[in-house]
Amino acid sequence: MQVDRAEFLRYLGWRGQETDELLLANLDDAAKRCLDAASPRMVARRFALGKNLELAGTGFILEGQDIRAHLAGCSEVYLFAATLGIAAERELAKLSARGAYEALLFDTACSCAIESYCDDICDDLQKSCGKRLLPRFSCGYGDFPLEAQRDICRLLRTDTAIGLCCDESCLLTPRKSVTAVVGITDEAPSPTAKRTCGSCAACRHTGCAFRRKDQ
Amino acid sequence: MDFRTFLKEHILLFDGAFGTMLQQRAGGPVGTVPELWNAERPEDVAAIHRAYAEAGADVITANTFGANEFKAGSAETAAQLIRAGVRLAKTAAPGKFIALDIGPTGRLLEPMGSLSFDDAYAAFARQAKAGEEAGADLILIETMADLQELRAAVLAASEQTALPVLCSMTFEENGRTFAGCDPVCYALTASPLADAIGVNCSLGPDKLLPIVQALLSYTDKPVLVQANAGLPDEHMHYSVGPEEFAATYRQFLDAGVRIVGGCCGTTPEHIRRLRALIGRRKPRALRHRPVSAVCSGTKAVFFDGVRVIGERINPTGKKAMKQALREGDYAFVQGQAIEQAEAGADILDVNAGLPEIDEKAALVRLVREVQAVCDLPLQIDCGKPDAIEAALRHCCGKAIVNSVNGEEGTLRAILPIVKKYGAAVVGLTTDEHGIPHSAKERIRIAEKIIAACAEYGIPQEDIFIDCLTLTVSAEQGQAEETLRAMRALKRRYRVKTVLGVSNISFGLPERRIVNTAFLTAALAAGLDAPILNPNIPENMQAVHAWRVLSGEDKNCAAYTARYGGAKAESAPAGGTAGHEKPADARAELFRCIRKGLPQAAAACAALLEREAPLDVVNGSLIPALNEVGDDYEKGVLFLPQLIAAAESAKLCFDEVKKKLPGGGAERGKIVLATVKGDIHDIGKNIARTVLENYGYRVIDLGKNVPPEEVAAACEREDVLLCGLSALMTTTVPAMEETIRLLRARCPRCRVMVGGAVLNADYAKKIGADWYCKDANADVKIARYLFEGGEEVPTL
Repeated sequence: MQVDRAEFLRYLGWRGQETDELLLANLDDAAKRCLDAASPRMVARRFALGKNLELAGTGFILEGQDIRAHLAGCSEVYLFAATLGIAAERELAKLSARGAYEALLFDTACSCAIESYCDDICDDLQKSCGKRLLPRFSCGYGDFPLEAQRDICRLLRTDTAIGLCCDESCLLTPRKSVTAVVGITDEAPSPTAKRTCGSCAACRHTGCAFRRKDQ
Repeated sequence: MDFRTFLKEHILLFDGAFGTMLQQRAGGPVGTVPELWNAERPEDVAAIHRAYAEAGADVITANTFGANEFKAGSAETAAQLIRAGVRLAKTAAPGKFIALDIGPTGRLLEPMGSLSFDDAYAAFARQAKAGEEAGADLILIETMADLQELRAAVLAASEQTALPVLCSMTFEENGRTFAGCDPVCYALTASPLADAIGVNCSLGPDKLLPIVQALLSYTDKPVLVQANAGLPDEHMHYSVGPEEFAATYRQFLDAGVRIVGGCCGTTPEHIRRLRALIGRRKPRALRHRPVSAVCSGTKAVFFDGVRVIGERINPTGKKAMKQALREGDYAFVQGQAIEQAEAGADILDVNAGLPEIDEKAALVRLVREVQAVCDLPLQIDCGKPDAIEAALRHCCGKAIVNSVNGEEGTLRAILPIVKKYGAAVVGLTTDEHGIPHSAKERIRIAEKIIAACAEYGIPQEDIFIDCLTLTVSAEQGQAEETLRAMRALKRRYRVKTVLGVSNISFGLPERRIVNTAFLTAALAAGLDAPILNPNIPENMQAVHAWRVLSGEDKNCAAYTARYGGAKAESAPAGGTAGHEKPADARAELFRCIRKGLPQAAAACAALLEREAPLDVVNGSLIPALNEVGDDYEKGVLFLPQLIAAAESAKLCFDEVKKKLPGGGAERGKIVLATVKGDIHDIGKNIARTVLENYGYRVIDLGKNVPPEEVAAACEREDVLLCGLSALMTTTVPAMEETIRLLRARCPRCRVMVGGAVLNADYAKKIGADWYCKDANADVKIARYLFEGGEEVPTL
């Protein structure tokens, strides 16, 4: 898990503006503070996938055209959930009460860190799986509903397993957390598989400020 | 035999895992609600219960762990599953005690999450009552990670049923729960509320001993251990077999654990081995001895040296705090909490005693908001029993109640509440005859308080006697009487002492000199917990020095680290600002703001030497901010640079305010809130910073704010502009509802909205006046509305 400088700047909306040493030092401080406060945890589980996109034996169906298209040809999936933990959440609350600048940098550093942690998880799953994995797909991507987050948390028992909860608005708490579905193809793993997630490519918000330029 | 009697006389054996046994029978995952098996596959559930009963368990745990309204979908379904589960267990294991099993809600409680303490309590109460009606003999609250959620569950179970309540948390290898609670905070907080406390799940038995030892040291209740059979591998196989499991449990029993069982991965065979291990052992006597300590949910403070109680969160004589409490602007209060913590306070006093507000509600809110940003234990400063009880109920951890005195009525009204929640208490040495004038009288009243506490079972270690500071310029002999009383009480009793010190110098010049001397004298006389303003350097300097003199600061290490090489704090700010021409000073201020430098404050102060405050605001600060705002819009600057500039401008406005005590710099009043159901407040916080730094008065209601609260604040403050933020599609409906209510109750108030999923069309659809694509848009709207700036067309 890391906080990549380029990602950090992208999340802050940076479009090539002039930066100075003070700002860059502040970014580094925020990244360090984030990595110190974070205690990342994850839980993953493999499920067989039925024709109607039901996870076998659970009654939970993956709903939406976009995830159906994304998982075409997969007969299994991993569900995983990951969080930076409550200490980072507390630190963010404290910084927010002190001022917006430090809070903004810390919040953004945490967003980078959790994405990076998810990349690591997907790499690890790929190593142990034996088949090629698709990029991860999260609730809220395309028309895959946020409401599915609740079922994913229950199936993985994230509350007792990693301290991750899903609230009545289907938002994850602690905030810096992710749940995702990873399709398992029937193909052998490809050594040149792309590491990035598929979110931008699948997303319909084409005007988004954070959209990667290459997608 | 009655369960409580049985527990006194026996080592109690629970059953083992349920979830992992169910999965074995299912041959795979069991779906999102395993408790549905109580209705759909009762025979499988009963078979597991029978196996544990046959293995020798005294208690059979019903399959109700996740049967709550949040996981099961409705309170009614949850109650049905509970009734079915308890009855199944009773039928399958006749003659055994049946435990209603209650696990976490699966929701994160306030302040980090959105589920309120009261809603959690209500849900747990419904579960507990359903279990009692179905015939459960006891309630087991287990696998908790959040101490506040555990408190809600234990209070609900013990207040709403007559059943014994056992509770258990799950710890990680770092010795803390996921929510950061350690065994000491857990034991101090939960022991007064439950019949037994303990640990389950997470780790294998070999890793749990240090946690169990800590629990045994700090609780006066029986301790329970239900370990996992090790940690699972990727196929969900658990590594610790029955023999090894039982072998490690021997050390728990030797240490004094009185209730044992198994958690994930254990089987009837594990339980059979534990039965054999228990054999004819009888419970050992508790080794607990009371200690003077308080805690929050994550931090314990022991009174084994001087502990500073920060006094700043109190409206008495503080204009800004009064205003914050009246307006519901708790961001200000949170700032005060953090400032005191950073200055070295160990405990924070919270006081909401303002005649024109609802003290009880405000005190509860103070507790919640301070605990959201600060991990220090709290002192509840209030004399009204109902407000004290409400505050203690919502306070996570063990607090101090400030205060009782020697009056019989006060003691009888407040001490039962102190006892119920296991709090500590301050005893003021006054009574119905007023303030005593001799050490002897003070001691007499203290002894009365100590005796009354003993009647309620409150140990001396939890009593903090206040021998009262009187004004030395009015009654010169009283300072010595105060110190004398303190010395005598510390010699004779195990109580601790508190004292507010600043009163001593009232009416004298250079008060800090007298305050510091008195503080040092009081510490020498045995003062444990001075109540003071930690932001005054001399106060903390006296405390740091005393810690050296008393030997508490071993090898003077903390003192040397703090003051070694440090210069006096009053050194004048360097630089040549004073010699510059006004134009240069303006340019310097401009540069500092644009770069977001803290030196902006000094530059502003320099300019204020030459120009009138409002000229500085209108001639320098606002133009600088405007330029930054324009450059942000053009993409020359990006968000962190905009915010840094705004924050350095705020430092400048603080300088301006020093010159304008009447508050002439205020440009308009705005209410901001993140809507109900949404806890993502970073966007709202950015808007607050930018607006404040333009000189607008922002009343920040916080996150997850119900529509009624937003409307009430806008109505009360008669504001013309309200800003709402929501992050997700799922919380936009709450925004719409808030706008509807605002229209009905505050027709004059305009509404601007912002948030990740909003756009102008959506904002219009839900009835907003303006959509803000970024923080700069808020400022343009405010300038248009309050100062006749360029028109911003409504949607």
